[in-house]
Amino acid sequence: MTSVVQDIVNGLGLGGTYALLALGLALVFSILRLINFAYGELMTITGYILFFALGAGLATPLVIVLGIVGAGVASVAMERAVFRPFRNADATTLLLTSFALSVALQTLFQATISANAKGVDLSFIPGLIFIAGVQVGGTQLVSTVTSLVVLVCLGTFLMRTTLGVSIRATAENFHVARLMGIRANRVIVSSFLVSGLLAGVAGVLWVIQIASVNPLMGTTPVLKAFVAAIVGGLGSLRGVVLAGFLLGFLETLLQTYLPGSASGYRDAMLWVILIGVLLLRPQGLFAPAAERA
Amino acid sequence: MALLRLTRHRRTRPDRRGESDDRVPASNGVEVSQHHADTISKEHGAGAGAGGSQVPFFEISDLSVAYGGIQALRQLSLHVAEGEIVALLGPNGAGKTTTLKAIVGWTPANRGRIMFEGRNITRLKTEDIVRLGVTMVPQGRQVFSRLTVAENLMLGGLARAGRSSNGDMASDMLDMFTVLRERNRELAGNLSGGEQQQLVIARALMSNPRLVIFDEPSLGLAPALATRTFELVARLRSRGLTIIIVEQNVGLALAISDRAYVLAGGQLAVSGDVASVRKSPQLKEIFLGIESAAL
Amino acid sequence: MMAESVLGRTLVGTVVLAGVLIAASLLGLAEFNSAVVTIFLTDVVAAVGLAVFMGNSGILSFGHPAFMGLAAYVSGLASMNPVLRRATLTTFPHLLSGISLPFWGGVCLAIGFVALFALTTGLAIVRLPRDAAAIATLGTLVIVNVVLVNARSITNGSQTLYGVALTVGWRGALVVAVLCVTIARLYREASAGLELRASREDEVAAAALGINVRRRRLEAWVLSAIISAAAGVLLGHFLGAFSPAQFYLTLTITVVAMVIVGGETTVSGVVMGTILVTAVLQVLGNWEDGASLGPIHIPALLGLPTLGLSVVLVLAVYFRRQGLFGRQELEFAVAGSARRRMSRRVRPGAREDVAEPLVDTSTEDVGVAKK
Repeated sequence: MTSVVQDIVNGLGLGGTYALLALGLALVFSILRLINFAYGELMTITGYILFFALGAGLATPLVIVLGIVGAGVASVAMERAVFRPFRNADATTLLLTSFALSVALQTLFQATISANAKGVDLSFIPGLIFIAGVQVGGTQLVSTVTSLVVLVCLGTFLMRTTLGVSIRATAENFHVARLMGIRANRVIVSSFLVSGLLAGVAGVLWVIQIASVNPLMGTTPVLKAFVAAIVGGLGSLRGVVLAGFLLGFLETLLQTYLPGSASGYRDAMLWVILIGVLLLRPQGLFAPAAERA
Repeated sequence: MALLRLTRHRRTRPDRRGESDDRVPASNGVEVSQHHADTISKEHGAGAGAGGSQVPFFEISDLSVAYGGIQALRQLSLHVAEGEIVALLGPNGAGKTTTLKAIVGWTPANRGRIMFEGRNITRLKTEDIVRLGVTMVPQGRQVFSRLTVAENLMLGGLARAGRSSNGDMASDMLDMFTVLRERNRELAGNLSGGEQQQLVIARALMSNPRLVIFDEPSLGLAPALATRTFELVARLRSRGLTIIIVEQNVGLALAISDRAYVLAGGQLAVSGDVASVRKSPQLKEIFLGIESAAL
Repeated sequence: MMAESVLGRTLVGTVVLAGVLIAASLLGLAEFNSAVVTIFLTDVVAAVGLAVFMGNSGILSFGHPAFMGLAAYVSGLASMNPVLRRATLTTFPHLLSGISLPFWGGVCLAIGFVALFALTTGLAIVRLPRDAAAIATLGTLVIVNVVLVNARSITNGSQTLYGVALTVGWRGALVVAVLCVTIARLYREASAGLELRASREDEVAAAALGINVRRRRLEAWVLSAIISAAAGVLLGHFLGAFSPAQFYLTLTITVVAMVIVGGETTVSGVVMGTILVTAVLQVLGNWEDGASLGPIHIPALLGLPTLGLSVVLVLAVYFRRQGLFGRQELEFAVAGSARRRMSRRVRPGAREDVAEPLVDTSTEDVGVAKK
C-alpha cells in the first residue's frame, strides 16, 4: 500500500511526462492541424541516442543533452522532409501521412538496431528519497520537478518572447499572423523544434524509468498523451497540460486501487473515458468555446 | 451623411506625428476637427498621376483567379494613385474578397500582375508584401483574441520598415485610439465590437504601411459604429496613407472615396470617379439584379 | 431503392470485378501458392469492409482490424475442439466451456457478436465530428487489443492461440470475396450509400437535403464491421493460430494502404489496390533477405514489406490522393478514359473529384491545413 504522498508524487511524475507530450502534440496541432502520429518515435530516437552515447563512453550530462537535442533535430527533420510537402492537405491526409511515418520509423528501428530492448543505465538518481519523513521514488520525484520546470520555462517563452507571442498568434489565426509579417515557416519550424525538445525531455524521463529502450516504446506514452491532448482540447495549451496531469493521476490511482487482474484493462478504460469526453464535448474539456477562423 | 463630406484633399507624405486632432473620441459624438479641415491643402484631382512620379503607385493588370473550376475573377485591371481612397464595390460573390486575397498573397493569381511602387508583388509571400508597405485590415475584426491589446499592437509592428521603435509607434497608436490605452493589458477577445474594430485598424497601422486595404469594414457593425469607422478611415488619408476599401455598403464607401470600381460576376463592370459611378444606371442592376439590356 | 439501369450497371460491374478476382487468384496460384492467394482474398474482404465505411463516409477508420480480431477469436474459440481448448487454455471459464459449435455456428456467433459491438461503438462514433471520430476509431482498436491481451483465460493473452479449425481454403475465400464485393457495390449504389456519399463532401448540405447523416454512418459502420468480421473469420480459420498483435497496427496500415492506393470511394479501386499492394508485398518479401537488382545490391532488411508499405502509402497520398480508381467504378473508367480531364494543378493530398480552391504547390507558398 502506497501512501498518499507517494501517490501524489507518482501521479505528478507520470502526469508531468504526459503533460510534456500532450503539449508537444498540441503545439504542432494548433498551428498546422496536424496530429503527429510519429511523435512517439521522437522519444524512441532519444532513447537510442542515450543508448549509443552511453555506449560510446560519454558523460551522463552530455548524453542527456544529446538525447534531448537529438529529438528536437529529428522533429525539425520530420517537418522538412515529410510534412512540408503536405502543408495544404486536409486533416485525413495528414493523419495518414503521420501514421505511415510512425510505422516506417518503428520498422526501421527494428530492422537496423534491434527488435529487442536495449538496457540503458542512467542510474544517477537515488532509488528512494525522503520527503517530510515519507519515502518517495527518486525517479518519480525527478520526473515531477523536471516537467514542472520545463513547463514553466515554456510558458515564459510563449508569453514573453516575441517568437513565443508569434507562435501563439499563428496558432490562433494563421493567415492574419502572416499579415503581421510573421514568417510562417519560421514559426512552424520553431514549434516543431520546441515540440521535439519536449519529446526529448519526456523520452529521457521515460528511459530513466524503464531503464531500457525498444523500437516500440514511444507508442504507449504517446497514445496516452493523445488522450490527454484531446480531452484537454487541442487548441488550448493550458488545458492540455492540465489534462496531462489529470491523466497521470487517474492512471496512478487506477494502478494503486484496481485489483491486480483488472489493472491490465487500465488503458482500455482510459480510452473509454476519452470517447465519453468526446461525446459530451468534442472540442475537449478546456478548449475555448468558439474559435474564430 | 453630411458629416462624412470631408473636403477632398491630397497629401504627399506628410509627417506622421503631430496630427493632434486625429484622436478618435471615446464618446458617441462624432466630430470632424475644424482645425484639421482648415490645415489641409485643397488640391483637387481625382485622377491618378497628379503627384508627379511616373511610377504608378498601385496597379493591377489583367488579374484572373480561379478556384477549382470556378473562375472567381476575370481580367481585372485597376489602379490607385498615391493618397487616393478607392472603393471596390460589388454584391456578394462578385470577386471583391478574391481580389484582396490575391493582393496580399493569400491566394495565388492564375494570370495577371499586381504592381506596387514599381515592384511586382504578384508572386510574393504575404510576409514580404506586408514588409513592402501594403497591409490589410481583414474582414470581421479578426483580433488575436487570446493575446492582449498590447501584444496585438506589438505584432502589428513586426513588419515595420522605418526608424521609429515599436514602443513609440505603439504609444502613438494608443494616443490615437484612446480607448485602447485604457484596455492595453486586456485580452483582445474581451473587447467590444467597436473596440476590436479600432484595434485591428491600429494594429494594421503599426506596420507603417503606405497602402491599406479595408475588407468590408462595416460588416457586422451597427450603423452608427459603421459610420464612425468610415470617418476614421477617411481621416487616415491625412497620415499619408493610400486606401482601398472593399465594401457592400455602397453609400458609406462612396461618401469617403475618390474613385470606385464595381465588380459583378468576377469582372469589372463600372469604374470612374464617385460622382459618375453614383449616377451609373448599371449600379442598381448589379446590386438589385434588375435586368437591363444595356449591360 | 435503385433505378433499373443503375442496378443493371452495378451488376455488370460486379461481374467484372468477380472476373478480376478469379483471374488474379488463378494468376496467384500459378505464380505463387494457394496460401498467398488465400491471404490475398482475405485482404480483399478486409479492404472492402474498411472501404464500405471509409470510402462512403469520408471518415478515416483505424478500428476495423479490431472487428477482424474479435471475429477471429470468437469463431475460432467457439468451434474449437473442446478437448484441445481445455488443453491450451487451462483457465478457460466454466461458463463458456460448454460452448462447442460447428464451424458455421461459430461463424454466425462471431458475426453477430461483432455486429453488436459495432452497433454499440457506432452509436458513439457517428455523433462525433470527423476528426474526433477518426481518433475514436483508433480508440476502438486499442480497446479491443487491450481486452484481447488481458483476457488471458479466454484468448491466451498476447501469446499465440493454437488449435483453431483449419476450414478455409482459397476457394472458400474466393466465394466470400465475390459475395462481399457484390454487397459493397449494391450498398454503394443504393440510396443509403448514395446519401452517405453526399455527406462525405458536404455534411451540412446533405443534412439540409434531409439526409440523416448519423443513421447512414451507423449503417455503414455496422455493415463494414460485418464484412470485416468475415475477413477475420477467413483469416483465423486459414491460419489456425494467431495472436492479438496480428490484428493491430501492422494490419491497419496494410488494409488502409490497400484502400487508399486503389481508391477508397470505389469498390473497383479497393480491389485493384489490394492486388497492387499484395504484389508489392510479395516482391518486398522476397527481398527481405537481401537481393541484387543488377548493379544495385539491397541489404537484408527485416520488415522491408511494412517499410515499403508506408512509403507506398505516403507516395499514393501525395501524388494521387483519390487513388487509382477513385473517381469512377471500373466499368466507367474504361469507357471514359478517352475524355480529357480539365487541366488543373493538383496539390498534394488533393482529391480531383472534389471542387476545392487551388493552392500553389510550390514550397514557397505556405497555407494551412483545412480544418
